[in-house]
Amino acid sequence: MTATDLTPKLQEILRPKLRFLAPGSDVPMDEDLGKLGLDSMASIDLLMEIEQELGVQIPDDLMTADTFETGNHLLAVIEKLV
Amino acid sequence: MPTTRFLTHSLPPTELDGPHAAWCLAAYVREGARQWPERLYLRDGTLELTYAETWRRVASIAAWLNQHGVGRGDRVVMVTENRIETVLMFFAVAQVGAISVVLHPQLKPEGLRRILDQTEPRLGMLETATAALKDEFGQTPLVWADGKGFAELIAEPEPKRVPFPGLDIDPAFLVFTSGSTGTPRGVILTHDNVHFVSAAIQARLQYRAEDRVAIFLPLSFDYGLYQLFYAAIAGASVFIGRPEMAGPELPRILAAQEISVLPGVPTLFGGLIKMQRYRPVPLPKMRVITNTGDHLPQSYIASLRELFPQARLHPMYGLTECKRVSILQPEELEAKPESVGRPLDGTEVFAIDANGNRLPPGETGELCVRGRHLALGYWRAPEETAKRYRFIGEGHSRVLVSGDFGSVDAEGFLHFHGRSDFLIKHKGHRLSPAEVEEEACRILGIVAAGCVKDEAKDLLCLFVSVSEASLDEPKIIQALSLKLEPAKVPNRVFLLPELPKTGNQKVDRKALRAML
Repeated sequence: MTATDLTPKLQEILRPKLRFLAPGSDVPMDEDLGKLGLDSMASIDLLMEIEQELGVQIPDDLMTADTFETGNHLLAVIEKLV
Repeated sequence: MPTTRFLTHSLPPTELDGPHAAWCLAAYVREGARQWPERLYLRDGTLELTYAETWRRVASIAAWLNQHGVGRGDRVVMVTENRIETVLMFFAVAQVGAISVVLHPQLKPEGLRRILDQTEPRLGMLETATAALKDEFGQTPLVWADGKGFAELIAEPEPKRVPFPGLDIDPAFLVFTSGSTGTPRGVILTHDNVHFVSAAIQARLQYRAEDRVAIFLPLSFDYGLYQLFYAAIAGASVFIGRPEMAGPELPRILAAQEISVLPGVPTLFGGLIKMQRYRPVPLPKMRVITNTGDHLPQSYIASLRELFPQARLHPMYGLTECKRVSILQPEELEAKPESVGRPLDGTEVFAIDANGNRLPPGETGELCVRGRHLALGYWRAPEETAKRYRFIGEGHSRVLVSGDFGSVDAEGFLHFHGRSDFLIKHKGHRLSPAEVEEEACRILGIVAAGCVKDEAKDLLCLFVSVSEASLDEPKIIQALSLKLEPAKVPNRVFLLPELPKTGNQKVDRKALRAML
């Protein structure tokens, strides 16, 4: 998978977890996910779904608040793993 | 006994610190610096400060505050993520006799404005992450917690000592919480309130000098903030973490920081249990786990015991208006699994009926609390203060009427049966349905709103009737997320043609709950 394939897939996983996202708008990749409604509990679900649906395992040293800060941060981590 | 050293004045204050310095909150740091200067107090993963290093920085800031005219009774409002600089400022504010107001960094401009209008601060503190709130402060001078000026200020090697000008009965800080109306209210805690309650809590929890306490709760939430005091009584160290660390990385942080004391709320423990099941890591030897904010489900208790077999687990109950009401000891958990423990030593709790009469043991009513931990009241809100803090009985004893329903059994154990209609506990936060409803009614097209919690599903629900057909659940949630802190934004919104009303034309929350 390339970055172009990954972005829509990641956005699809993210969308239902961003409860403050304006309906109908694209999932912004540069915005703070916390501000879009992702709380710490939801970020655990997010991790599980990313790993299961994209077939990757995020290594321990990248399991940080920084990785889960924005869509692009996540994408950068995932790209290296697929 | 270190737990009682402030109560007995065992360490006479020096003239430099002021005649009543032993009672000032800053004494936690100052006496720590005197008794165990080399012990580590504050850590954040990068910076580490001993008690002596912490005190020198606090004294530097106090001298600076004094020089800039911040003194007795002045308010200092801080809006930052959890960070060491905020802790330093907090103690410095106490030393000069001023009053700290530590607020949540996710506070929206409207919410902040309401608090600034009430508190009229002499000084504000922000950081880059909260810079968007700058305009709300208007003409109030600001310091930047992550700015160069502040870094230089705390580097002062031999700061001038500022004596504490206050008394033990003076306000030390305000904790803003949801009032029974939509307006946030600042609970006024005195230096004495804190010393009394912290010693009483430490007597139950028994933090030790070698403990490493973790704060993942926001410092704006009193249970996060008070960890600083309990740790200082024991001479322990505190890891200043942040709420967003309570996600996937939490087990790793606990391990890396060798945390031995973990104060939390049910959602934090829920996340920890989930993550540890999904991808287990070797956990540190946890010694003490405390829960507050909401009921800890039995399934969580069982899981926590599995994950941390050696940990002492304490379910607790409290409210900001007196900080802590009761703590259950681990030895009592078996016999009283549904109890939140006995009242703190030197305090009293009883239930009253609808007419204000004291109920016999075992009968359920509104819980009332007495003791030296009762706060002064709500900042500039005499009416709401008079409703909660009443003088009842022949002795005119001052009582905190909690708004919570429960009972006290014959052995003195408290059983909590839920909150009144005026307050909701959700995700460890206390919120006022009135505040959510008010904000909803400001959205164009919403005619009426009623907010209730679905306890079974742990969801905050909002019922609305609308005049604008295009309004739907996602639009309303999104609109509210711009005005309310995340924990106060409903999880579900239900549209009804009309909301049920009570006899006096208020939204009938009881009827709404029945619809869930």
